[in-house]
Amino acid sequence: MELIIAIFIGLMFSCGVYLILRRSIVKVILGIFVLSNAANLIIFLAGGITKSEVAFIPDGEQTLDPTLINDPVAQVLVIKSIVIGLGIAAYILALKYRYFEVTGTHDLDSLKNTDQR
Amino acid sequence: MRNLILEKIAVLYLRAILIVSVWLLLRGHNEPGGGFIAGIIASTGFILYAIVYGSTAVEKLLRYNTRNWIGSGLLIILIAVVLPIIWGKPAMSSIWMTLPDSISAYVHIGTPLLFDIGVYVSVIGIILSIIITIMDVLKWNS
Amino acid sequence: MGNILLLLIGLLFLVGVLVPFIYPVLKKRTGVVLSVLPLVIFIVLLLELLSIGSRESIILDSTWGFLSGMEFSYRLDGLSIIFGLLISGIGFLILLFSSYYMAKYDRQPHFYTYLTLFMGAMTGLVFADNLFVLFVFWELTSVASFFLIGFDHHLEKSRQASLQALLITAFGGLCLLFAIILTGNITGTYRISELINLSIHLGNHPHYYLVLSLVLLAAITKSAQFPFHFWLPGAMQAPTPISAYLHSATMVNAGVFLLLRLYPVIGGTMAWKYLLILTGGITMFLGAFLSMGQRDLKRILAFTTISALGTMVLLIGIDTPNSIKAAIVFFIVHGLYKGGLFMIAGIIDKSTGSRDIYKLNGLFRGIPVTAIAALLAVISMAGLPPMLGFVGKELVYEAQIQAPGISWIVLPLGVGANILMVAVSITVFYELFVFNKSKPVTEFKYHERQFPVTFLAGAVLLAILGLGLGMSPRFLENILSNALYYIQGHSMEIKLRLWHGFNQVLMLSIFTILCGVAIFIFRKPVNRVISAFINWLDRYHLPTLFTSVINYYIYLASKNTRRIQHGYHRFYLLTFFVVTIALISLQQFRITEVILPESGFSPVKWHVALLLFIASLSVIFAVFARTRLSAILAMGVIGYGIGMLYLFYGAVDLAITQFLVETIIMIVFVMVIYYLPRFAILSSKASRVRDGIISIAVGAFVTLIVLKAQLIKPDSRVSDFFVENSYTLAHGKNIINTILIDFRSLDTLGEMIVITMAAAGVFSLFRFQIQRLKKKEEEASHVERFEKQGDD
Repeated sequence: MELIIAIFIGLMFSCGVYLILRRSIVKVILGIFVLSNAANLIIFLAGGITKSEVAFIPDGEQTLDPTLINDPVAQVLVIKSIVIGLGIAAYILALKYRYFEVTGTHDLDSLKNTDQR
Repeated sequence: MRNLILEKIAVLYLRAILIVSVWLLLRGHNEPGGGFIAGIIASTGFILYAIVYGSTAVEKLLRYNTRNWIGSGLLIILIAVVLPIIWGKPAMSSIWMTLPDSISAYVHIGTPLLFDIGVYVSVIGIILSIIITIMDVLKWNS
Repeated sequence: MGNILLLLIGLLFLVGVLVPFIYPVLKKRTGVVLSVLPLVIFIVLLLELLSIGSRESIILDSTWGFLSGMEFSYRLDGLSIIFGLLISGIGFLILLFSSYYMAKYDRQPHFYTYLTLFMGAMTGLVFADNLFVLFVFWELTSVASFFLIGFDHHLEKSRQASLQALLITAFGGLCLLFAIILTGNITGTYRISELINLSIHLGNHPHYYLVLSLVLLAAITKSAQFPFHFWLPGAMQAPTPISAYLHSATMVNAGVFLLLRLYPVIGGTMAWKYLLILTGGITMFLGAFLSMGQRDLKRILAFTTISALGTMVLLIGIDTPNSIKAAIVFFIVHGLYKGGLFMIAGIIDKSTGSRDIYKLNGLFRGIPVTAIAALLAVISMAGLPPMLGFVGKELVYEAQIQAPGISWIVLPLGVGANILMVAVSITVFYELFVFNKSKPVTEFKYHERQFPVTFLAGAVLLAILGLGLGMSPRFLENILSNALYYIQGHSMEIKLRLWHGFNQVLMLSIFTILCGVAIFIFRKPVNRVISAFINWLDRYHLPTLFTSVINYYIYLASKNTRRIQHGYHRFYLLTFFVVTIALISLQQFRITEVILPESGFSPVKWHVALLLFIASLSVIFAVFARTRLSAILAMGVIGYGIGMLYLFYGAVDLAITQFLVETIIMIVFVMVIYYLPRFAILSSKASRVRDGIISIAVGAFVTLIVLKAQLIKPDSRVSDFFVENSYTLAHGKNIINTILIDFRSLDTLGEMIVITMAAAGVFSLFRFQIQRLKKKEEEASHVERFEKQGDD
């Protein structure tokens, strides 16, 4: 299963990289979304997917054997990464809109000069 | 063009979702849920309301500016962070209230809960701030 | 006692920060009130000086610090007490002095803040027992000096001078940091007291020459030694109290202090001796020589300061017990008379409005008390009895005569410099205070009796102190022997007397004075020669050279930046990806072990595989989508698909978060989408093929890395603790959530701040637009209402 997921991550990375190499800014944004999802998946996979138990302490018990579950810290990190991804997505969308409004173009190559308005 | 059914649904949905979100917030410690999830769920209610009634209506409904919501959320987090210092513990360690056994079997009250509430409030503020700003710019405000 | 000192130094920093709030209350009295603090420090140190034994050092451990091994511990011994006394004593007088001198300046709170902070940093520097703490204070003094030199920042000249001083001293600071790290690595300790007590000498270590040259660079940049001496005359752009305090009596001596402090660790080798003698000797003579050709009183004093600093460095380089003793005594002497002379320059500037010694004439008439103080200070500078300067100079001569093997070069240089000093002293006093018929009479703006006592106190007290110590130099014996004990490592009897009896040294002194007077008498031809020399030297004007080097550096940097920062977004990324792939493939070739293990993978779940297949299709679809909405839909499928994947593997909270966030992103995207441009094919086919190849390569390498990462199975996981204690410590059964809000709540706080900043970013992007829109709306509604009223 790891192999399949790894290939899927590779595919997402290929597509993401291809998208962010485009000149059209909308595609660049799509590429960033794809890449951020793929990166989350890498962290998730690094936590391991071999164990079947869920990271909850069963009712009536005080503790859980850590060897039974996959690494919960990886999951926590992914949650944080998703949330930060939300912030980035919102900001990039707003920035893109503003950029398009100000420059009137969506071609990144016309945005070479920082002083351009 | 007004859509009466949608307007009614938006109000009902907002009320229901707020209750659900508080429930999710409180149970987050033992079961799936928690401040962040509850915050986003609550803000979906406000977003639907905003889409139906416009962003100005939501701003009125919230009473305070969304940035004030973010600020108060962060302030609650800060209190939860600093509070343990009064007990002589390092900042960010958790303090739990000692409750009678009959209650503590179900619920624990302590600074992490406060922290979660802070997260909840500021997430609502953050998401609504983004949405309302974008709606204002796109002139969806009425 | 020591704890009080620690508290007082801390108080200096606190008060320095609070000055902007104190100032509106105290107004003009700020300087006087602030001066209480250094006075208290001075008294504490004086008591310490009287009570400390000749082989005693007090070490104060404080457990607080940046990191372990970098504690703010303090060390009181002879050397630091001597330096501390001068810093706090002159600091006290300078604060009194500036309360009148600075009265007409704007931005006085800034001035007092910088000055007090500097005072704290300088006191901290001399008492620091930890090399890193010493470094922090060292840099703080440079920074304070930068702000104070550039205090009149509306003048181009001041800005340039302050930048120059900062660049040079900060360069020295970097060298010092490097030297400290090296020393710490070699010896295993950063504590000065341990370094001294361990009696480790780095002399035989292979890195010795590196450490030595770095320390010397730090010292000679800070103490304005040749060839870095040129920043000090430039620093005279600062207000006079600053020149008096920072650039003559205290900060520039930090380099000398550093040399003395580190002497037990790195001093005393051949390289140390010759380098210090070379730079110190040149500086000593050059400074004295150049001071002859100046007209501005402050510049004259600046060059004599350079000369004096050179003398101290030379004496440390001669490296006999006598020479080091002479260096410390000379430091005291110099601090006393030079601080006084600078304050006198300030008084003259205030009362006449000029500092040109050839324009001023017969000042004795207007400022008699100052003139007497100036006479005493000048006598001390020339090294005549009965001032402490005489004692100092005798010691210097003695040390130079005894210099082992090198006295034939050191002595003539020293005598030459001193002859020039005598001549300068007589010239300055003669031109300023003695009435000369051939020069125009100076108009006084203020007479001395119009000045407050605090303004004159500094110069007078320092002159009296120089006289008093000159008459009874025994007072210094105990503290000097303590200082020397910790520098040299063995104790030594010290006798300081004003009168040594007739000997070689006295003969030299008499010779010096006679020659000095001779030069004074023939000063016109001598000045002509010196002016010609200075003109010749100006062709290699060091400040200009320095500026042009800096400018060339900036030019190079901008040229390079234009080449690298070409502005094509995708080429940046392309470079990044190609380099990464190249590096990774290099690593893949180097490690030749088998990548795929035969077992250890979890079994294939067919429903998840199907899910991933659908997600893959939508990823590919997103790449080739022609319309915006279809691309967004594809994004949604990917996002929810990954959420499902999390769910299938039991990460419930993760899945919920992913679904919700994906929903919010979709909402925002759909809102904005129709205001965004349509897709268009902008790139040529060739570049699309090139990008395609690169992206496929990236994907392949990522797959390889992910698989490789699966092979690493750490023995223990951090999370085991969290899992075991989730319920017992954090009272939660949802392990993920207890980690989020309890065990690792700092991360969550950081995450909240990140998304808050994103929200703030979105808001600030559109703030003005929204305000404009709202205003327009309001106007429109006003007009509407108005029109309605009109209808009625």
